[in-house]
Amino acid sequence: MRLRRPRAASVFTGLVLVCLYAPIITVIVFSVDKDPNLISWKGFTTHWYAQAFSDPQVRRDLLTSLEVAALSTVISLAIAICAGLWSRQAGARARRFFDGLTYSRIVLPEVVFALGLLVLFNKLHIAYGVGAIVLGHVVFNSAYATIIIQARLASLSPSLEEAAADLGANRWRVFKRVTFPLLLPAVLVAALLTISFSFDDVIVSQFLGGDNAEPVSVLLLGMIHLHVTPEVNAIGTALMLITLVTFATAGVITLLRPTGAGQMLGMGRRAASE
Amino acid sequence: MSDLSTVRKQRARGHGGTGAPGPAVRLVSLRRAYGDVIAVDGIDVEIADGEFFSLIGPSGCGKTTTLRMIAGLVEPSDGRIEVHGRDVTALRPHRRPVNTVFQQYALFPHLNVFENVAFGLRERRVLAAEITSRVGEMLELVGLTGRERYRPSQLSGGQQQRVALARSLVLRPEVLLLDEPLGALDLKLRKELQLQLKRIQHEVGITFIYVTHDQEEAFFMSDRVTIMRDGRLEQLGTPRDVYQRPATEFVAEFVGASNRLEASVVSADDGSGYEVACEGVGTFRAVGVPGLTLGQSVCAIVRPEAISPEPTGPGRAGLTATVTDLAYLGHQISCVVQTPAGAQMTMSMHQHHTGIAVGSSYEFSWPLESVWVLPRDDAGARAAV
Repeated sequence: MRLRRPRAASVFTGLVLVCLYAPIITVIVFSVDKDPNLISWKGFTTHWYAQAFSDPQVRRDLLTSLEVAALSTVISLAIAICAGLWSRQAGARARRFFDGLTYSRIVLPEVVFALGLLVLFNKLHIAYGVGAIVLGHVVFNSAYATIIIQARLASLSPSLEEAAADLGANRWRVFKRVTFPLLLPAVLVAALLTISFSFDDVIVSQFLGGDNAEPVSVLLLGMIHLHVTPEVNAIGTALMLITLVTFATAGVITLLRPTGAGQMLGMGRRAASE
Repeated sequence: MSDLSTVRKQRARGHGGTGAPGPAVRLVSLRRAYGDVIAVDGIDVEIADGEFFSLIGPSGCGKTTTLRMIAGLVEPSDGRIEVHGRDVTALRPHRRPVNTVFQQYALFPHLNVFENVAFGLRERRVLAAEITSRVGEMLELVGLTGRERYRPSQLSGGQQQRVALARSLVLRPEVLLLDEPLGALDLKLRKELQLQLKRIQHEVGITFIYVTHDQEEAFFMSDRVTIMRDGRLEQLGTPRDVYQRPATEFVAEFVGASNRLEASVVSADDGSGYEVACEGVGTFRAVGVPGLTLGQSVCAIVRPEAISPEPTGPGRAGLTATVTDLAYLGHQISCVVQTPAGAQMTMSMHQHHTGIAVGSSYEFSWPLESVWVLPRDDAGARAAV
């Protein structure tokens, strides 16, 4: 006996999906459409991509984005690994307090702490620019990375590290030869996530970039203010591809090895829920 | 095996351990408390060089904590640990001349068999050529030659256990600590590996300290065993000693003495034993734990294999009991009877006693020299169940 298919629910779900993805598909389609006015389909072209990526400003901003992503990822991972190792041996209360701090960095509205950092950096005479954006990204990236690393550490049996110590390794050697190699898949997943989060962040980058640094996401925002051109679609599609590829890689690593990052991938970006 | 004699010689040279006088391990008033809970409550033991020594007891008795303190993985609250006369209490695990085989093996999943076994040698900066030969030698000893490139996850439980053993033995420790190393294996494999462990210990001559909750396993392999209870040593001796002359009811229960008759001392030890009175049996003379006092309530232990279905005579004691269960175990019959006092007794008899039927009453008796008398201990009996 088969259950009747819930037709209404299927149709509704389908409609929601179409509405969600239609704008994205529109961007992709117009990025390869010959019509410069974005009105109708006039044939396939890669002209807009060539035009966009030959623009020196786009190139410079892409490099800025990469630089910010790389730096904030490295710093976030260092913080996350230290935090994970610390929290494993911390007392229950300290641990709860620390977890609260971690989650608050994800839950708090980005605009609020971006504004806070803006004011703080001003008071401390820290120059706006790449460094300031990196620090801003570390605020949320280190939180995501900490959660992933903690999850992996929790699944590691402490007897492995005890065995290494028993066999003659001091604390540093235990970390280097056992703990870190076993953490590596989680570290990779965390890195890929933080890279993509950093890449498509607009708010912190906008607030803290000043006149010196402009990541490509901010550039895109500026271009839209004037006019939505085919180049904007091309840049947007390229950004989307970069994020998708890193996320997919993280997903594949998660499937292949246990990292405790599964829930993170389903979590989506904080911006999406705001 | 010339390889092994080399191992032994090199080990002796390396540590000056073998051949040195005095115990391999000495625990002095060793104590460990977790808050209000006392896991190990001041134990004193000396373990001889080359001895196979077992710590046994029910879970929570402090045996694993004791082992982990010797390894340096748990810090003692009080007391001292000496290895070959050297105080190691304050040393971190990686500086101690002991190695551990962990309960779940704790093999490094990211390293292959060779690298797992070579782990400690690399920490000691042993030359590559020597690492290759020593790892090879060890894998041969445990029968895993040819598996060098396998990951631990590709091995069976028994093979993983042997890699863990090789990983520790390759370092030629002065003492090897084993924490329920066979606990995760099935019965057949356990028996097989018990034999192998015994053989390997004999061949390498290293002191083994073995923790298990399985008294049969401990008795089979050990030179001496100690039974722990609530963080204290209840009894220490050879397996034969402990089995035949348990010091307390707890030990008797733990080593599987199923027949305990309630009795009381009616005349003190005169050199040939106590005279005890036992309900349903009468008064008889038997040896027992020294120091029992007149009128003290005691247990008379009777081994199942000492009982036979024949009337009491000179030099024997016995009672009439009803058979409640019979089981044929090949060449032997296991028989459960109910005494008039309501107690249950088990006996194992030879196949030729075939006239016995369930539901009937018979006279059963046992030689007096097979009886062992020990003090009653209600708390102990309960804890062991």
